Amino acid sequence: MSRLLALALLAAATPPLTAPLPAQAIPERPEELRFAPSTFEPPPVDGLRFELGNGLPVFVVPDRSLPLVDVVLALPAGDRNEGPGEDGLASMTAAMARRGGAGDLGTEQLDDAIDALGARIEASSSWSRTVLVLDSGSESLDRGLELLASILFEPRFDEARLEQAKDNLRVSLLAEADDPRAVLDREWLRLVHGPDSKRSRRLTEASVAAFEPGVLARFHRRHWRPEGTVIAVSGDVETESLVARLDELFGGWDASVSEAAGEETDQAGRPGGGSPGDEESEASPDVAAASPGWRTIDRRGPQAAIAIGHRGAVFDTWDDPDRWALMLLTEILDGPGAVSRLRSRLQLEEGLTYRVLTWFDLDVVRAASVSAGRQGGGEFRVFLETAPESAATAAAAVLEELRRLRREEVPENEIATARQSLLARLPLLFDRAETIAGRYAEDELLGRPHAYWAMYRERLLSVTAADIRRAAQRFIDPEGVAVVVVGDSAPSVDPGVRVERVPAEPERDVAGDSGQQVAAGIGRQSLLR
Amino acid sequence: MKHGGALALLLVASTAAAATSPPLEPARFTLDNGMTFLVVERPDRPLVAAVWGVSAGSASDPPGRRGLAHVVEHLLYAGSRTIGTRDWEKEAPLLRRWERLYEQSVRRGAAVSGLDRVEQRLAAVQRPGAYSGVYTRAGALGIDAVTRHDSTTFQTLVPKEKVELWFWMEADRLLEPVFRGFRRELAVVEQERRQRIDSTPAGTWFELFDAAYWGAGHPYAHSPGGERLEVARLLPAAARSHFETHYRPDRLVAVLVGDLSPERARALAERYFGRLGGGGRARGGGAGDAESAEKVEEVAGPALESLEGLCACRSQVEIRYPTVPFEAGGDAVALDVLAGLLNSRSGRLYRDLVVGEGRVAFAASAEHVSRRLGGYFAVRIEAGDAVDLEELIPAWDRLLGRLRTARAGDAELERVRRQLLTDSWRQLEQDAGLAHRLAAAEALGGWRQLTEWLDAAAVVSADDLARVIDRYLRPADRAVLSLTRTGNSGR
Repeated sequence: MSRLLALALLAAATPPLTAPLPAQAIPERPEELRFAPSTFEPPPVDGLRFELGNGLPVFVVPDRSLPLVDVVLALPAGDRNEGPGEDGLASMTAAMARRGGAGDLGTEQLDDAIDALGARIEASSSWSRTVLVLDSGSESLDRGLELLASILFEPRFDEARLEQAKDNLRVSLLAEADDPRAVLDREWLRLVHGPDSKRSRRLTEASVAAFEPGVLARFHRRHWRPEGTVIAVSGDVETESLVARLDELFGGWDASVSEAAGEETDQAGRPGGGSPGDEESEASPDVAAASPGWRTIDRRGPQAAIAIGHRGAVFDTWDDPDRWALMLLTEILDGPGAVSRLRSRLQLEEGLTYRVLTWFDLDVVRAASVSAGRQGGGEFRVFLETAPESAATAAAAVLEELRRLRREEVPENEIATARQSLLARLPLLFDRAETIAGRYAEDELLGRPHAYWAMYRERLLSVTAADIRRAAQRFIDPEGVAVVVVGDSAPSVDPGVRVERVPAEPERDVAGDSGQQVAAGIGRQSLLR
Repeated sequence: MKHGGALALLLVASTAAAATSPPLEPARFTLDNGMTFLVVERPDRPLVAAVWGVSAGSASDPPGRRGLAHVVEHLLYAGSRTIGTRDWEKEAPLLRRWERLYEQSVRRGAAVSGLDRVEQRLAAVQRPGAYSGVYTRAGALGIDAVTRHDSTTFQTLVPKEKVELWFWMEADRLLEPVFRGFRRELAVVEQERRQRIDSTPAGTWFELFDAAYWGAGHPYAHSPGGERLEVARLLPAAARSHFETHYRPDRLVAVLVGDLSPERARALAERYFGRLGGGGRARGGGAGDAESAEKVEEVAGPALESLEGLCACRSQVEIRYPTVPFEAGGDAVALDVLAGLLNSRSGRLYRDLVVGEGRVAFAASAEHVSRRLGGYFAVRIEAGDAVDLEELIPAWDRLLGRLRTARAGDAELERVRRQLLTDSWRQLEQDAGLAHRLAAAEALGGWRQLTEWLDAAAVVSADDLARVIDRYLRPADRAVLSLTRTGNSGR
């Protein structure tokens, strides 16, 4: 028995202490505290996975401590399935499936039916998935599931409600032109992915105008399909009867019910998937921005917003050594703990910013579609805000840190801290029934093997300083970055970046009555009310 | 480290019907020095959510020092005599010298010679970020703090095996905090302010509206972020004085949720936090403190000034009606239920203003904000496509008229109750959220208010709603913020 435990038991067995323990009971420094080793292991997936009659996988993690149930149904369809001129269609389809009535219920009847249960049902869409969420008390679960199925299978896309949503979307578009962060996002994505990439396309007045009930219904028929769909359920449920009920509601859903996706079938299945038979990617991936360089968009304000980066990495396996190395590299550069190079430098040493946010997409797509995955690949982005007069200094500091990762090996103690910090977050990914069911269902949606979690610790432990440097040299390209500054700021002081001081963008007609293309958007989900 | 916006943590929790009562029964104990602990044992959790708070926030900022509570929140991450320094014996005299020079330079409004040199020498012995570094290396997460009007809270998620580290670290900074890196922290606070308030289209207006609504000198008239010029002139001595006045054990509440037994929590609490106050390193507790605590209780009512402006945002109005301070019963709860009746997709605001026949709004919501010293009922309406600002308030007044004549029906009330009940369960699901709620309720008079609030909400009747509408939602007795949209050059 540890001394600590003995003390704890002693304290529990005695009346409240009237005087503090002697000082020597408390170590001088926190490093002197001794702890039992972490025993955390991701919970086994065995016994959590079920299949409905049509093969639809369902993950169930019961937790009966509160009378609540969460149900998540995820479809592998999203923005990436939009065709030309359809910008925002995936999100609009999801939003209106929930809002536009379903089955026998009109718009208000559906809202009333859901609210009367005290439940919530929401539908939303992102780049590669559409998610329907039901969150209800367990006594209302059965009716909630019926409503969810009705929204999934027979949305009505009510015309009047759609017109109202379109009006609101126009108001949103106007507001986004006012928001420096939205302006930054639009411009930076355009430079990184090129103006024609699906990744950089944004909602416009024209694409909003094209939303019609028939258009939404067509997208729904083509892309809301059972192939690749997963369901996760957690909370106050009895597994056997729940799976039986899910089978009644969703087990008969088969491909013939939905319209074949025709020319876009190659997109179904896995996110980021391209046409089979695409050529293999080159050995050295090109992560540089489509239009590297520095762009300043003059805009008066107390704060300059800055985005720096290029395309993200794309791998053909979850177990690529460079992928594990990049996870550690991102943590070293800007992990959420205080031990982050960017935060140490920009906040703790120089007080230049309140917060730096770094994002490195490490997408995995199936072999044979890696080159198509470039379209599917995401971004490597450092975002920060600072006083306009500090913008150039702050951006130069970020670029210097990127070069340093390529130039020098990271000291072992820094790697150890980053590793510790990443491993520490692992329990958070499995910390309760909802996250466990969701994580394993997501594995299936992404094609990520469940074994990924079992190898997680060991793989991170085996990454070396040389691995990180090699990954930095392959996947970080300081000369290929796009830097966008929205703010009243001086040009770059970084000698290595090609400065392209662009004159202030002409003021757009944000009143919007000229009908010209207006503005942009940070996530489409947030656009609808 | 953030500071709370205008909309404070709303207390919404627990249940009505006995059959569905959420299983919430935290162990509660108080140390001899007055510090209170609540422990909710949840055996399977890998992390312990640990939150402690002090019942003093920006409402305690003295005149001329608006933003002080928030700056102290930041400074509490600078470490102690043990954490954040390479050599405290060397650092301490340098820090005293730096403070003298810094005070002189602030008072003169010009740099004093030698300040930079001392700062450089300090940099050689200080370790910025060391406090969070200890936690991060141990695998702790979610290290954050928030300053609200009536409270300041500090949060950490710590691996269950290492929960003792939390006791060590938090007691250490409460025992002998060192407010180092003062000048740099003021700069970070200023960046935070710009990012949170100045850079959001309507942020500055809401801050100005708070001042207009409450009136100059009212404790709620300024946001927790404070006033920029006053923050810039703050001195380390003021920060220490704030800390010593307010961070006393009898004003501290700590909540732990996770795989930790109340017995073990109590033993560790006695050992680590038992040292605060009372002992050899006693602090605070003077007559002046009681006086300042009294002072905040006697505040004037809101000034109810309205405000109009141009903003690079959606045209919108916020209508505020003065109500009552926080209470887990009576009119306060009826007003909370009224907000529930107005909100959600089957609520009156959405039906009438957002999607109804004569719709005028892009979005509309209601909220009852009730704090320790006062409350208000707020209705916020953002104008729809091609709708004039002038149409919004009459539309709300018509809705209010219909609320007066067509009372809430049984089904409508039942819907609100069910939503409140399910919401209350949801709020128990996440450990950190629960810890914050318990800490807030305990500071406002006892954690049981979480359950009492819902018991009260369950019996709110249509008559109660009619009563609070008549009593509080009076057109003569309100203040309005009206923002008209301008182009993106406007500021």
